[in-house]
Amino acid sequence: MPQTPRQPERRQFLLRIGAAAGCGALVPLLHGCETAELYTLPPLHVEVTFDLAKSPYDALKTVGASLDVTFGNVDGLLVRVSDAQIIGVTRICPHQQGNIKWDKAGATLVCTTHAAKFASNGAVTGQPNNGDTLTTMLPTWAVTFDAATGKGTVQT
Amino acid sequence: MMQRLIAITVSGLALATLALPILAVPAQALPRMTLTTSSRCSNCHINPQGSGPRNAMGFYATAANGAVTWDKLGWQKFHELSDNTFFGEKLEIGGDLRLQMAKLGSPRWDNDGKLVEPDRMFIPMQDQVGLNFKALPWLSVAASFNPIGFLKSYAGQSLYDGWVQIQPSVELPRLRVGMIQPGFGVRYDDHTLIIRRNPLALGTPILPPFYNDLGAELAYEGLHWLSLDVAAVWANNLHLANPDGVASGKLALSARATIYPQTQDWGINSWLGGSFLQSDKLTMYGGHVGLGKSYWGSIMAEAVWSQIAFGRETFSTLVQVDHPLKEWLVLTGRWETGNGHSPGLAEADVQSYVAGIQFVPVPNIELRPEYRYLKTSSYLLAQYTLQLHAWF
Ligand code: FES
Repeated sequence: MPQTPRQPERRQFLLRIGAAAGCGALVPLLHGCETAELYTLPPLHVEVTFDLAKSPYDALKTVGASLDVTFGNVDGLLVRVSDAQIIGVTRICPHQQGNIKWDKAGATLVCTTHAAKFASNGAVTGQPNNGDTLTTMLPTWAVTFDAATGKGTVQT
Repeated sequence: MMQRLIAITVSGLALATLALPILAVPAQALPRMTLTTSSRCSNCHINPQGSGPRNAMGFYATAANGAVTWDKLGWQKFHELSDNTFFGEKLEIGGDLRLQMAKLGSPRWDNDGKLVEPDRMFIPMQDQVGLNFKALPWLSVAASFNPIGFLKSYAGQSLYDGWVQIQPSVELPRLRVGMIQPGFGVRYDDHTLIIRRNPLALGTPILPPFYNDLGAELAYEGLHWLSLDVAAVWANNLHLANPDGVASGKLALSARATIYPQTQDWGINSWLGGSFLQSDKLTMYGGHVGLGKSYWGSIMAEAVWSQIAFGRETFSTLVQVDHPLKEWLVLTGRWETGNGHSPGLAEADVQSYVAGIQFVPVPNIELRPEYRYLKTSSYLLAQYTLQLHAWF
């Protein structure tokens, strides 16, 4: 019985391995092309004073009320969490940039996109409902508030 | 035969459980294959819409496709495993495992004004096992399970699908009743596609990967140049994906028609079709067109418009080109656009370019290195990604 020549098969095999290696070599090449850009401005840090006697801050007269604000170039949320305390947080979810709202009934901050929950100090208390694990805190602002005068400051 | 059944089932379950600790998205057919082989999705997949585990034909078609076949590596037994049927071809079993390495999410500013990129993660996208039992020549029962959805899923994605199918003969219409996906446009194997997503919130698909709802579908593929399907389902999962437009338990209706013009002389295959889906306040229209030739490759395009009455409106397009250098080495390029607007929200524009390679080093294992460039109204993220797909 004539023998099948082995050479072409080996050559073909080596060619295929070469092609595979070529594909693999593309990966580090592509790595060099990785980039990320943001078209929003980095957060501007500002100090804002507020007075509950004046609009729009009068919305915070009742405990449990919240107010959407934009300070500097950052969208945020002020919440009257108790008689004596107002908190300030950014309104952009650290998961995938969803919108943060105050859930009055649950007394918690909730993302409207995947329902991640945050405590008033920004700590993650409920994970996104798409199964991702979120560890980044929601950025918070330093707020001072004097319940007697109804005046305070926010430092973003 | 029993040993083979046990071996395949055990390896399938092992594959499935391997990926359990993370997320779930199903594999779907590669639409380019319908254009280069002039074949319907239903010819190769248990799900006639072309998603997930393969039938006997699909299994056979991929069993020897690889840069190196298993026998050359000394795995003769594996090489000879060219069929997934049992009990006189009454039972077909299949499974898919798909892992993706990518940076998920978008860049953001930290509080100190430093740009933070999303982390690169390994995401098991799919962990699906399925079977099809042909009880009678006209009656079959099929089901598949994607358990990774327990741990990670999109809103509205289901853990399983399954149906009873009645089809007296291939020339006659087919009725499927069960947990099914109403037919709409083209189903791809990549859940990151923009075409089925909401450009206003890219993390939330309008039709999630492996979306299924309870209902019925009537489909007709009796002519070689035409396929038609209509479906009616209770939109419980569609409601979870689109809570602002679809109330739970409403009916969702879909219809899709595709014609398959062919030129025998040139060996050119094509399809051209349209889809419609409506449920409560959500309406969607889609159009798809594709052109392909064996060994040359394919080009396909799709457009999807969606609207929630008095709410968001989206329009997305996709163009994909595939060119096979070898059966086991295919170059791919894709361009997608998405636009969305909604009262009270800034208009969203999304552009995505993907260039990649589908490389099958050995049969039943595919590596897909890709370069992805995604630009939205608020950020740009360009990255390389790698997908591993193993199936049986
Ligand atoms: S964007 Fe906020 S939880 Fe996903």
